Amino acid sequence: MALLNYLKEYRSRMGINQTELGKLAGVSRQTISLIERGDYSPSVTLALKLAKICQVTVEDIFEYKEDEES
Amino acid sequence: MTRDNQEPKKTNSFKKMGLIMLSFALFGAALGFLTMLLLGGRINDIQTGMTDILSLMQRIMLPALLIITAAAILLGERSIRRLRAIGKKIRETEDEECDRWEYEEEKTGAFGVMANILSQILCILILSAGYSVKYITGGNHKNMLASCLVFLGFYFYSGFYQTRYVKTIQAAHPDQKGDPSSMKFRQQWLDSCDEAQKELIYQSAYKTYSSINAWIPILLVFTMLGHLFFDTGIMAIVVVAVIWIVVTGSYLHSCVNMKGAKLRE
Repeated sequence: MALLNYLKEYRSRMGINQTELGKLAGVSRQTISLIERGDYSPSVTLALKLAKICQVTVEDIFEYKEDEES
Repeated sequence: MTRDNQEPKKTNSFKKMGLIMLSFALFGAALGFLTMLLLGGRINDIQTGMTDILSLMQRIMLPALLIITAAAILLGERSIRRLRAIGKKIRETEDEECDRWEYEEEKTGAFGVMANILSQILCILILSAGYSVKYITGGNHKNMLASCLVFLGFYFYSGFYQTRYVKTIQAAHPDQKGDPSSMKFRQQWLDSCDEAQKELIYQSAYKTYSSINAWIPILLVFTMLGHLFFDTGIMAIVVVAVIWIVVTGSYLHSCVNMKGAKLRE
């Protein structure tokens, strides 16, 4: 997986559930769940919104790792 | 150079495509030859058998339609009841547990819709067996009229089922908007989806397009062989060909339109 994320950790620190984070970011609970599971890479806009809500930088939440094969 | 360092062997796309097309042509020729060999002398027997099946379907049309309609209503109601219970769980649970209920919702919804569509298709196929002026004027019009009424009843039930299905999903997911009775329902639904939901819809739509493109040539060959051996008429071939043109045309039109819209922005 090339894009790792720590959204679940930041959300837990804020003490809110996926529905509440989704409401703050203007997306559905399913989208937050998909991002946390690494099944969906969000758009730049949504990544920036999530970082703003968590009061961190995008790089704190998302980390790009080169695949070992490449 | 070790085996691991070797560059992947380059393939000649034209040669590969030529071989694939040749193998399909040979398969078609073999299928035609075998069909002729096996069924050549029995075409009349098969046509008689098909006429017998058709007349059997005409005789059992009304009870068959009643049974299918009853089964579809039972399955539909069961699916709606289960969807309502799942919707309640979705509203009550959070995070991972909610994910599991949403998966259950997707499965139950897909089962209900598929059962409804399959029943509609079965009813249409059975009704088509007797849907001809020749049959109606042959003194069987009462049976046909009753069958049409059963089918109409099921048709209305299906319309209401689909509306209830959408409303049930919307009760569990209030963000999903759209009036199921509106002609613009699909657009309204898509507009209410967020980016991840839209991506799922786009991926599913592309898979559907690929699957239709794989099935249409097979159906075209099937209908052409049917006409060749059993004189089934060119209507089936024309219908499949029109579907192919419409599907490909819509896809290409949409691609060109979207690129054009981006340039005009």
